Amino acid sequence: MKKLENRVAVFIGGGSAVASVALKYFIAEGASVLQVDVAEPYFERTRDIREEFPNRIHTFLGACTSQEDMDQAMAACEEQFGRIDIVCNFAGFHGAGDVTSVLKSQWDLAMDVTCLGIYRSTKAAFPYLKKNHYGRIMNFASIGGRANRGVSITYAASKAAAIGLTRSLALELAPYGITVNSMAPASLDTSAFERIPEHGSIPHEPPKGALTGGPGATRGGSFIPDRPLATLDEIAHALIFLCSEDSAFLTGDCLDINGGQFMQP
Amino acid sequence: MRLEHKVAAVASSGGSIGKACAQALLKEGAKVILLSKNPSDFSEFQEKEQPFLGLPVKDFTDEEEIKEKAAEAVEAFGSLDVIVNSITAVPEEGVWNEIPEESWRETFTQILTGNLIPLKYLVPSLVEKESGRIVIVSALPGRTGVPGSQFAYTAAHAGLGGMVRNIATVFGKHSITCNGIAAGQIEGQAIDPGAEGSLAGILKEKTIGTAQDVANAVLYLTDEHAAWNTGETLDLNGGRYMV
Amino acid sequence: MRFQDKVAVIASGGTGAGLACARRFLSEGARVALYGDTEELQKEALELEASYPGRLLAIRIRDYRNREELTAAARKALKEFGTADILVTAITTKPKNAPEEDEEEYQRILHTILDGALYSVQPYMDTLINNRYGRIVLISSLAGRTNVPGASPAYAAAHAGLGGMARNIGCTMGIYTITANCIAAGALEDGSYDDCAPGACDGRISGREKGRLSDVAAAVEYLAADLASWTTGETLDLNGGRFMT
Repeated sequence: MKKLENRVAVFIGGGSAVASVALKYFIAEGASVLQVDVAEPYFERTRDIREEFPNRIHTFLGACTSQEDMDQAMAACEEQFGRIDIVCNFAGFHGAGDVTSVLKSQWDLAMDVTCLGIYRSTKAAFPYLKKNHYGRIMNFASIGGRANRGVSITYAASKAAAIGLTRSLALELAPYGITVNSMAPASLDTSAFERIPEHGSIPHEPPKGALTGGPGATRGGSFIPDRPLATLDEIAHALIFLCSEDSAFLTGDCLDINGGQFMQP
Repeated sequence: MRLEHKVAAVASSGGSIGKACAQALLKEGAKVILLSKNPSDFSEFQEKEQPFLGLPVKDFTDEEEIKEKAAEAVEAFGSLDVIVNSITAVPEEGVWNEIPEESWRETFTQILTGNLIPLKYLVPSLVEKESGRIVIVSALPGRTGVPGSQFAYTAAHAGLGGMVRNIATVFGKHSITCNGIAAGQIEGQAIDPGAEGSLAGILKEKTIGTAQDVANAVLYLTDEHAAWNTGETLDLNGGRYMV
Repeated sequence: MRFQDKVAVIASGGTGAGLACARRFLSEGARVALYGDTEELQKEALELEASYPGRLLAIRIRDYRNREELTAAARKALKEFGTADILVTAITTKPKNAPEEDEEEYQRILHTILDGALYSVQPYMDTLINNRYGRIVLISSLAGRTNVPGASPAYAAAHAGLGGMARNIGCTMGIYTITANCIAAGALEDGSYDDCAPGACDGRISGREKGRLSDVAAAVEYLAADLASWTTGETLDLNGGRFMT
């Protein structure tokens, strides 16, 4: 039995590598998806599958930094697919710098996209989820917000804030049968995708305390041999769980997916 | 006199905690600069008799103002050894999706950016010395779901945890530790009004903590012997939340 | 058929969650060895066996503290199915007179919950290591994660211990591409994992204040899948929003 049969999902930041792979899994499990992102080039990554399923995947241009964009995106989804069941918040902004070198503009942007974007999309989707007394909201956070990682302070703080926001929204929406959870993966294998520079990012050095050795470098190494990174398929697997009826009793939780690099008691 | 010869800067949005920390640090022999949004905080201290400097602050998110005040702070008694932040904001009460954007943005920014900016301009002083103690005081709703707590307040306080861990990770190589204290309900410290009734601890004679309780925890974390504590958030909430 | 070629061993004691897991895995094509400690569970298992002939082996366990018994059970299951891929422990017990338990009761609780999990899992480790594959899921209680009013201290300690066990197995067995995770369940419909004052563990989701046994099975499925290969040493808090960390 398909886990997302007849469900409709909105992917905010749907053009990201993670979302592009997740899209395949959502379609396979029976869902329809509205991909929302800030620029057309992002959608090129999923051109093939969109051509294969023209009735089940649509796109929408909009930014999670704008409440109006989010309201319009959700209205478009309701109009095109007749309902909304799931919102996946993939949008994030890395930013740059440590506490002494961070630029306020980068900081503000990271907060606006990574944390407050979640609020805006949730607020916009709420009336449609409320109607069905059902909803799944998934917020894509990161181990960078949870543990000791040499990431920029903009990333660490905005991801931690996103995890906190997840808990708050979980409480607010529980009376409506809507669950809200986050996931905190460590580094991902996005090698299959060409990198599209983030809107508004500036060139930067990793913070001085950062570890050398590429994206897989970490103090608490993964316990699984020859595996420094998560695959996007592994991430998609967790997404399906969080967005399906399988997770009906799970809310306000943050799923760790990190090969053992961080184990919270 | 655990902090004799040490210089400590306390940045406070004006509640009881900031003031109590400044007092506690002074008592332990430190020279203290208190940057505060509440001018009446300074009346408790005798600037002429104690190694104390009070610096009024209008807005912790104003880089120009804070850059200036930070320079004054460092100049007062020399390079810093300790920085303590107790900066928060009272959120507007209301239904989560009915609070106006300007209001929740202000709450969020005053808490998160309000903690960031003073650290941005004070931490270099610790780096110069290749040693230091940073403590960021946050609130319980940043750690766990607290019914009634406003979303922007909650998210911002959670963000402070990420800040603690990041500063600890990146500045550890300078022998600077950074820890957090996630405080429950504290006397004299404004809480999120929506969470009233959901924050009390479980200790029979002491369901609400005092500012001194937080100051004690600050003394613990800033102690010379706390050199191996870093990146931790200490849950100080009278048993309200345990993990 | 998501678990077509898999063999799952489920050690169930004091809860209906084990049976729910067995149903789930059977419906997804797996072969299942189900340990049960009550006549009732045996009965249900026999019914299931009829629906899935040749794919369910029901084994009666008299005492989850008995290492020999659990070793023999593993031998039997390995003989029947030839291998093992997934190990699920859903072993708990209700404290009799919390919080003033006597020494005997304290030992009983601790050993049933902790030893039960350990002795159920241990005899299969050689197989998992040889196969360079394993999915271990230990089901525990919310009481092991945080303060739950009315919970017995021994109960809380034992369930917390399961989290530690999962982390340890995750660390030490990762080199063999074996994952181990823990689920900390809150208030379930059969009350099996909440040793607490009535209603004190309830979730907050409207219409789902108590978790269903199928919710536990779904979470186990998530952790036991091939694609859960990057999740290890994790404790999944399954409590309807009662506790969030």
